[in-house]
Amino acid sequence: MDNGGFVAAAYVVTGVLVSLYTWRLAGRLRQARDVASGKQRGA
Amino acid sequence: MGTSGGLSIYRLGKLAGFVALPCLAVGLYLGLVWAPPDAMMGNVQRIMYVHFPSWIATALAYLTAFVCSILYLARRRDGYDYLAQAGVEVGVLFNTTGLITGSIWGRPTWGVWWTWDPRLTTTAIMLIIFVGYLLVRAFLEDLEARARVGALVAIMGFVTLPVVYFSVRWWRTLHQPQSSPSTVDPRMVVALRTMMIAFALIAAYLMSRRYELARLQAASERLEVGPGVTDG
Repeated sequence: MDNGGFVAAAYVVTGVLVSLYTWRLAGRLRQARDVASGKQRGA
Repeated sequence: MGTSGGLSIYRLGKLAGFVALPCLAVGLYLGLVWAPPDAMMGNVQRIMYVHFPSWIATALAYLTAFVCSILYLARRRDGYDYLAQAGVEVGVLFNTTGLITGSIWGRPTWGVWWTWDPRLTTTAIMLIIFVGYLLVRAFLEDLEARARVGALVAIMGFVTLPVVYFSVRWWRTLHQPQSSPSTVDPRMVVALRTMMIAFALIAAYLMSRRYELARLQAASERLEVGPGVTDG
């Protein structure tokens, strides 16, 4: 009984979810920095 | 936890991120290549090297949220609220990966993707409570009310964590109880511990980024409300 597909699926799903969250968080952070600097200039 | 606190958390997070990458690479090699397959389960047991570290990261993140929520209610410093938000969001991420990898592991070993077993059920309840935290925060507009209610939900949610941990001892369950390092091959222990450290460092890195995001978002919202305008 090899079940290599299940092992690969577990690692891939974990990798994809953590990478997607990291990428999305970086985008949100960049956007928040732009908004904050824009507002500070406008204030 | 002011600006300097924010900067130090950000820098510590960056350091954690740098250390996490080689640690993860080594952990993946140890878990997928170096450690032997399990005598009973074979190679499918290698799922343990992402499944269990997911729970370590979850516990670390939820513990951060719990401690910071208590500190926020006691001291009313915004930094604690930002860190609590970070803990919950990162905890939800790893709670999800833990549940999914557990489900993938369950199919070849138990024959089912999901069963209403005490460990699985309590873990799902824990996830639902912390997703509820994120939803509650999204619906509340008042900054202070958001932080206060969020802190209460995070404290309530954390109470489920010991229930999840002890569920395999308290009830009859399909899920195996906690293993002792003395009963498994030492190479498995080394691989698992390396992956646990890598996941904890990744969680710390992500929490530091999420903390910074919460800080910036709160600063923007305060600028929108304007100085001198209070919440009552």
